[in-house]
Amino acid sequence: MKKALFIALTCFSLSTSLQAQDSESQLNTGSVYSYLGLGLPVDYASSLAGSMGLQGVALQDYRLNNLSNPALWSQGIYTNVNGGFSLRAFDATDNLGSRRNSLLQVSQFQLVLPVKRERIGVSLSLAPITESRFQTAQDVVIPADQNNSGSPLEYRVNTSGTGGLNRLELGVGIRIARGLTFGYAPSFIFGVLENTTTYNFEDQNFSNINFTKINSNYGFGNRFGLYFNRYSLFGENDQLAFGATFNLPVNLDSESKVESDIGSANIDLITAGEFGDQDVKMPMEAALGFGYHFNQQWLVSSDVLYQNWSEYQGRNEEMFTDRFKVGFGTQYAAARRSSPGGFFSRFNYRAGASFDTGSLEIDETEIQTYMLTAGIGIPSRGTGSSIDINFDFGFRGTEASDLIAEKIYGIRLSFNLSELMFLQRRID
Amino acid sequence: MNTFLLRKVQPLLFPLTLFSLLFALSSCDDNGIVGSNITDDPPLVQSDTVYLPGTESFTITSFSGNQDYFTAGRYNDAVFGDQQIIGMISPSLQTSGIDSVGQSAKGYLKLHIDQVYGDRASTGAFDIVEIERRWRASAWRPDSLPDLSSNKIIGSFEVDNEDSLRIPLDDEWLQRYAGHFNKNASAQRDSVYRQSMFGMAIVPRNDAKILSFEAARTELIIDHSDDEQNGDDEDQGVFRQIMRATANSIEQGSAAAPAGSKIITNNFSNTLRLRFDVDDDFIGTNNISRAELVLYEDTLSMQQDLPSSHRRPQANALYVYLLTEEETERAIIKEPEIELLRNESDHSFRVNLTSYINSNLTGTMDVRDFYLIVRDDNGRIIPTLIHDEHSNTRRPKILITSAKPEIE
Repeated sequence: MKKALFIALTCFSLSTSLQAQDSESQLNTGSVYSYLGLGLPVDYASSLAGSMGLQGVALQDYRLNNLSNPALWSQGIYTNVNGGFSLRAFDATDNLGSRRNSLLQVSQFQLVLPVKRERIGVSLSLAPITESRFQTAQDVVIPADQNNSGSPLEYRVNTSGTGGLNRLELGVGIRIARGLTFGYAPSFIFGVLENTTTYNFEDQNFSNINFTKINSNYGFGNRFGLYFNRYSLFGENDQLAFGATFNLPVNLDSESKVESDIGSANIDLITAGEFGDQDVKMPMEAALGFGYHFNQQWLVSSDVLYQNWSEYQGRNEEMFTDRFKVGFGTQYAAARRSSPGGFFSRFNYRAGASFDTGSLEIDETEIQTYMLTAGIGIPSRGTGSSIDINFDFGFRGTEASDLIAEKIYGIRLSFNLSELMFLQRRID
Repeated sequence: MNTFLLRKVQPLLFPLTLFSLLFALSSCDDNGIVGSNITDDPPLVQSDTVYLPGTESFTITSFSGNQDYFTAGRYNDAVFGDQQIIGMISPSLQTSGIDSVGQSAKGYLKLHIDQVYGDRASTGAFDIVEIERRWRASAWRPDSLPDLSSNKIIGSFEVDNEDSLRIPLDDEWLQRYAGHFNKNASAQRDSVYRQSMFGMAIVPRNDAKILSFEAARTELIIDHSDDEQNGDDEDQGVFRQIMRATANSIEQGSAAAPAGSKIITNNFSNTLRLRFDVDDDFIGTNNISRAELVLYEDTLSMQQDLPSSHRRPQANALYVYLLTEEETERAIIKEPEIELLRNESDHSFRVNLTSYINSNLTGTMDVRDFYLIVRDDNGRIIPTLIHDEHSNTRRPKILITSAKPEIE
């Protein structure tokens, strides 16, 4: 337990320091599309699912946490803790130019405790569910006769955003029948989105000015999950599994204000009272998937995610549409071979692909995403812990209709600590 | 724990190295502009004009002693009225290379003219009158008058277009001065001199012009070249004394500024007080890129009645003192906080007030009134006319450049 706490605290403190650094650094910018609404949805649920291009609602692994389906938490034998970091680059192009952004982020943190082995498990997690990290700019010239300077007034307006929604969740998974488990996870959803607009003037007689819209949100969410598996269905060591999840819509209490940094002081330009009450509704979400283990090494899985973004209420709601995401992936767990092998047999290999219609429809054009993913799991010898490295490559959006096409490259490093806890080890 | 850490760290080496490499290689290209098509257009920068609600002529206590210049003369300005200024000076009694001043020594007052205000074509006539009562330069108010009751004239001069003057002084006065100078052995020499000789006043005899003299270059010259007792001790047979005190005594006749304008001078007898609340209700926003205070000189009124041979000194800048009501009851000894520079193209005085307004909006500075004088209070006389809030076209104003966010 001490080790789990050690990893948990390390991840937490690292994430805190990295987030603090992140907000100040150049490595702070992701997709421009994250400007819209509450930011882009974050789907990452586990290192296993992530490297297979999946949500992972039907992916169960004793050693790896999976946040996607609460029902999976009942299956635990080990106490699992995971956390990690990701680095993604976005090559964005539109009809005005091109730009590369990089985004260094902390992934989720999740602790799963098997209260009763393979029957009841509890999960505590903190994970992002939307992210907004963008930078864009406009050059403006105000003619001499329309400003006070007596000559054309040139300036650049930089708009940047940070933040997103996070989910602090405490859930439970319970086996309700042989091969059938159910999970429920209530959560507190909270987050702040900050959009900063900065005016940089060419003329040194004009001071640069800025204002930041700070939008704070909180609400309560409920997730439900089902998982069913059956062993030795078509072969001696095979396993077929189905998973499904359902997230209720979330009503968020939202508050906004606009403030400006003037020297070392902040002043309110628009107070929360002037903005008034704002209601934001996050959409319902459902996912369905299956997984088939041919044997201990080979796994294939696929799932589909549906999010009812057309019912979203909030900023830019007119640009949102229902989202479908389909993924297919496979894993070859060479490290699980019973017979000894060479160097490459020490790892687990994963790959997958996904297609995402996206939650945005701008000028009747869906902002779709195609992703190829691959990953390698590096299990620790002698323990169940592992380090997973995932690679992503994909395309999002289009340059048509004055939109933005993005090439996305990503690498994610996950730490998974898996230990037997609360059990007295015995040596026969 | 150490073994535990070691076991954990070993497998981390490869992924961490890979991650670090990618981290180092990844970079942000800030040159391109991408995405402005999908983001909302930011509010345009706005240019607004805020007119100042009220201006007020105001007099603040001040002292006119020991400034860079002293002034003497009389001139009846069609705009600024009849002004008579008496220049007051008091020579010092410093030791010199000579032992004493003899009976045959001659005294002169050396004046360097810095500025002429009035009719250049006329001859200015002045008397140098001995002051009868002690006065203290550091506490001399410009509206005080020196005691010239016995009208003891110790010199006279006339000025046409000279830059400097050498004026002979009365021998009797010089001998009295020499009497104090020659008391080398006395410890009370200087204090006795100050208690018995109070300097001289330069009093205009006509209203042709007002002259400003450089205080640092004003000298009492004593020519003792014919004195036998000093022999060859002095190279030229001449030694000089600078002024230990100077001051102005100003009598200002009534002057009515034209409608829509107010008089400002470079002393505190005619300041312009501006009062306005620095808040977003008045300014219109509190997100300011530039706030420029603009005041216009009433050049037309000033030039209208000025004959061609007459010259009036030009105000090249205005000073702003930020004062509380209480501070105006005392003489101002601090430096001005703000300087408005003249813009020759439109005869305006302008200054960037952004920092001042932001400091007020953020509560880091107390709100104070603006008191404007012509630059600077140095003993010369420089009046000007400034359009006030009743002016039809050139009211005092603040030009605001800002960006105002909107409620979405």
